[in-house]
Amino acid sequence: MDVQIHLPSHVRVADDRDDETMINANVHLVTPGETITNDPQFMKGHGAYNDGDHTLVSSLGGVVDQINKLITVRPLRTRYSGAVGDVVVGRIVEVGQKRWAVDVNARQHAQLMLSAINLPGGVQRRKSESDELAMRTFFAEGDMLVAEAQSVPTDRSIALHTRSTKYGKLRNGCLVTVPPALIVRCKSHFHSLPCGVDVILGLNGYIWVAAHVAAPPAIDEADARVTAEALYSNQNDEIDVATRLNIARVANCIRALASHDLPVSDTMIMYAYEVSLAYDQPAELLTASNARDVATQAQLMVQQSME
Amino acid sequence: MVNPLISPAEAQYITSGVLADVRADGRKRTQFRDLVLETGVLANASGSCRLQLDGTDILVGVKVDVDQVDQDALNCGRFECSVDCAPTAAVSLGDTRSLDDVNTEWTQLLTRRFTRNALAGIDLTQLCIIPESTCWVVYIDAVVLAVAGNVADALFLAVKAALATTTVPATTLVDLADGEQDFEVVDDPAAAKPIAGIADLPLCVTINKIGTRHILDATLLEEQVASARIFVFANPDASVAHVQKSGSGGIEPSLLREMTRTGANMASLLHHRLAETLKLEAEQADLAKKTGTQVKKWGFFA
Repeated sequence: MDVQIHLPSHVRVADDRDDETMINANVHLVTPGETITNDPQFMKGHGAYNDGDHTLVSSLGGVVDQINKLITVRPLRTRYSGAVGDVVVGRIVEVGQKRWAVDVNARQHAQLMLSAINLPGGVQRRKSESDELAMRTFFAEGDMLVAEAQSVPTDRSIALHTRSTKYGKLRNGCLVTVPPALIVRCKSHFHSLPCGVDVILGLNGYIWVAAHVAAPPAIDEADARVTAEALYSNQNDEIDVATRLNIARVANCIRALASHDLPVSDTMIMYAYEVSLAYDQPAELLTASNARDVATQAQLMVQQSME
Repeated sequence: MVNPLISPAEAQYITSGVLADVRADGRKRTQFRDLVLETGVLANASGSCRLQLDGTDILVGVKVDVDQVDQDALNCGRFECSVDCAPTAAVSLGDTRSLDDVNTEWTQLLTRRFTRNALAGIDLTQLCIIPESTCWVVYIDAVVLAVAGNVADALFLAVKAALATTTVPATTLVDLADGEQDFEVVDDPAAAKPIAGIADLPLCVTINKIGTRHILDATLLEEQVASARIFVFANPDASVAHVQKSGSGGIEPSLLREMTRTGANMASLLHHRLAETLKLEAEQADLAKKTGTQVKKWGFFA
């Protein structure tokens, strides 16, 4: 039993990415209210507005993007904006009429329609009134799920669907939240790491870290029904201590990467995991200096592998 | 308490993790997260502190002011506390009612420890300026900027650190002709004195009961799963000053004893660590003074 109380000067070191690299990277950073340009030829896009006749002013803190004559500001910290086909991890916040409201770290709750889910047993039919009454047996308030963005209507409320065996309720693990901009878009967002941990990298910045569950191939109809019923189960499988420690280690590695603004992808997580094995206990990664060590070393390994 | 949503599977994962002594972030049951603390962050306050416990973020400002003495304690000063939680501190604090509830709960928790009876270790007559007339009132105002669990422990630690760096200006009494007295505040800041006895102010350690076991320094989700919790207020020598229980679940007598002891030991450790950190900070400030430089305050950039 011990506890450390640090002074900020001991745990927060000045960022060594100095101003010079920022200037060399040719990045135009602006703060809210800062004038971007006085040139009348440019048009305002997202995150910019006209102040007076020709002055273009930023409404966000972020990076200026220019496409021909259009100027937009990409915010540094933002909520998830949603795009069709994105894999997102979310939490049910409300059960409504024929739909669920899902928290996906966006500006508004996403919608999951009753017609956009798979029924247990995999039966294909129109959803009836009795299905409507049984909605809480599928998803109740607080449940975690992984889904795909089906459409993004003009009001930016994302419509989700879970009509694939990949999607559905989440169990056997815990949630790690990172800024959505850090999630690297790639072919698959479902990863089984070699250490026996499954990771679902939601593009909305919610990451589900869980024990690896081998999906048994459905051989006959009875089997298919069992798998489908497990789809909406709230019961965790038996998880041994070694797996729990591995889940904690992966989760802490992701936190370490995110706290140092490093991209989160399966390779980054694996590099961080390998580096983190130098520390006996996963909880040691919660210490700021150890987290920094893991993050910087993982970054080095990625740079080396690219050369 | 702040009530986030949690799924049954997450709750079960946490409960079985506590039983296996591997919590969701890999900590053991009695393991505390690291704290980061800085005092003197508010220029206009008599004493201040910002404390971060992982994602929990608390700012405390202490202000001493002159007021009339209480009629039932004519020679004593007093403390007044308020806790204000930012609406953005947690997602579940969106509506005003739950925000009011947590503000009231935390203000009461703090106020209860700063009544005249609870403050037996501090000589309140030191805050009296003119007996039976005027005294110093120490206003403790805490703002909870972000919540990631275990607010109570962080709150008391931050308040104690802020009070430890609080100075009360010196006063001189002036005799008016008709037997009345008045006072003048001495302008010299070097004459201002710290409040005596703050070092012995009890600290709070919250122990949550999850399943059949108890844990220290719970995260927000762990607090949600806990069936009962006790707040143990203990002195530096690990003697218990006050225990308060909350939550709907029961605690077995034998477990209660174990929980109280765990809490008291942890509180004692926190006392020592806080004293060390404050001493280190004071030494840095002294050194800077001698060399004629200024210690860089991190403030909101910490």
